[in-house]
Parts: sequence; structure tokens; C-alpha cells
Amino acid sequence: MPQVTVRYFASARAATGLAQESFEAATLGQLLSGLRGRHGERLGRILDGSSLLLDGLHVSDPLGSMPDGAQVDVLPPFAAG
Amino acid sequence: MPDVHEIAIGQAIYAEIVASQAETRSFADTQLSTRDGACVTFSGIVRDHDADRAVRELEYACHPSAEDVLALIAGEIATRHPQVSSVRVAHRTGLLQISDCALFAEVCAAHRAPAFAACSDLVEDVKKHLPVWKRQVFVDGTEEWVNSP
Repeated sequence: MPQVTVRYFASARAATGLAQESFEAATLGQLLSGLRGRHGERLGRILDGSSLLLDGLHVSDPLGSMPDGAQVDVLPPFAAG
Repeated sequence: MPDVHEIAIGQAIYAEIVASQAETRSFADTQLSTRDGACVTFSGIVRDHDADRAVRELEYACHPSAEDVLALIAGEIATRHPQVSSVRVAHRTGLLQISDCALFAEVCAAHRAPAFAACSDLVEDVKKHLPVWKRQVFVDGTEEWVNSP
């Protein structure tokens, strides 16, 4: 099973208490449901409103595969300025 | 000193994520071109209230790509507004107090109309696209990540 590093920012970091963690997942959908299961409803709501970067590129397809060693960034809605 | 990227048609682009008020102030020291006849600046300031709640302080957190994205936004503004001579933009990170400057933007041009238009577009694009987050701490001790579900 591919090993993925998940990096959390802003409210996602606050909800998990983590800057990053490792997770095993073969697809994006598997990763997201696994993270919901591990961290609960608060992170689930944030994930619903977040964009996701896979090795720096936006991804959204739940069937998209996770390369081993991939880095996934959880980006809640921005609030610059 | 901020990095200067001269692009093909001679427009200067400056984009920086800055960590202190002192850096924001030094960034705001304009170096005009002799061709410039107008310079429009915008300062986004931390206010002491939000939706009728009293605010004590703000913290901005940046994605590692934020400075690169800021430079892309500024470059895109220069391309969209070919009459401007320079586009400068700085965004703060870290803990800010009331009345601190969070976002500084400046656009210079030979004439005022393109400078006003480009500066306004620049601020709107930064607010929409820059991967930066704002944690708002209220006077009553509660806090929120702005815009987060």
C-alpha cells in the first residue's frame, strides 16, 4: 500500500493537532475517508471545503491513485489580505 | 532588498512575503522610474473589529508556495495591464497587531487610470488566490480561522 505524507495547514492543522502525518492509501478517496475516520467530524467538514495538492498539483478525483512517497497538502479556503 | 524580476516589456515585478512591520515599511519605500507619473498604493490594515466583534490580533500563516504564487499574481497583473511600469506587492506572515499592515500593494505607471485599475485588480487577485490563512483572535479570547468551514 502506498505511503503518503499528509501536510495540514491553518484550520486543518488546528483540527488534527498535527503539521503532518503518514497514511497508507491507494487512492485519494481512500485517503480522505481514512483521514475522516482517524480525526472525526471537525476535520471532515474542513476536508469538504478544502483544496488538495498532490505533489504540488491540484487533485480532486477520488479514484486518482496515490504514488508511494506522495505528499498531499490540505488547503482550507484562503483568507489573505 | 526584494528580488527584482524584469520581464520582457520592461515592467518591474516585486513580490515578497515579509515577517515583520519593519520589513513591510522598508518594502514600501518606492523607487520611482523617471517615466512614472502616477503611483497608486494600497495598504490592507488590521482593524479592531469584524462583524461587530472586537478583534485583539491576527495571525497569518502561509503555504510554502505563497511567495512564488504572489510573484505569479503580480506578473499576471503586469501582463494584463501593459501600461504599468512596476507592480509591487508584499504580504505579512506571523502575528499582527491592530493597525499593522497585512498587505501592501503598489502600481506605478505614466498615467493614473491604468495604475488605479491594476492596483485594484492586484489586491482582488491576492485576496482570491494567495495561499495564506488568517487566524483571528477576539478580545473575549475566542478565535477562528477566517473562511474555514
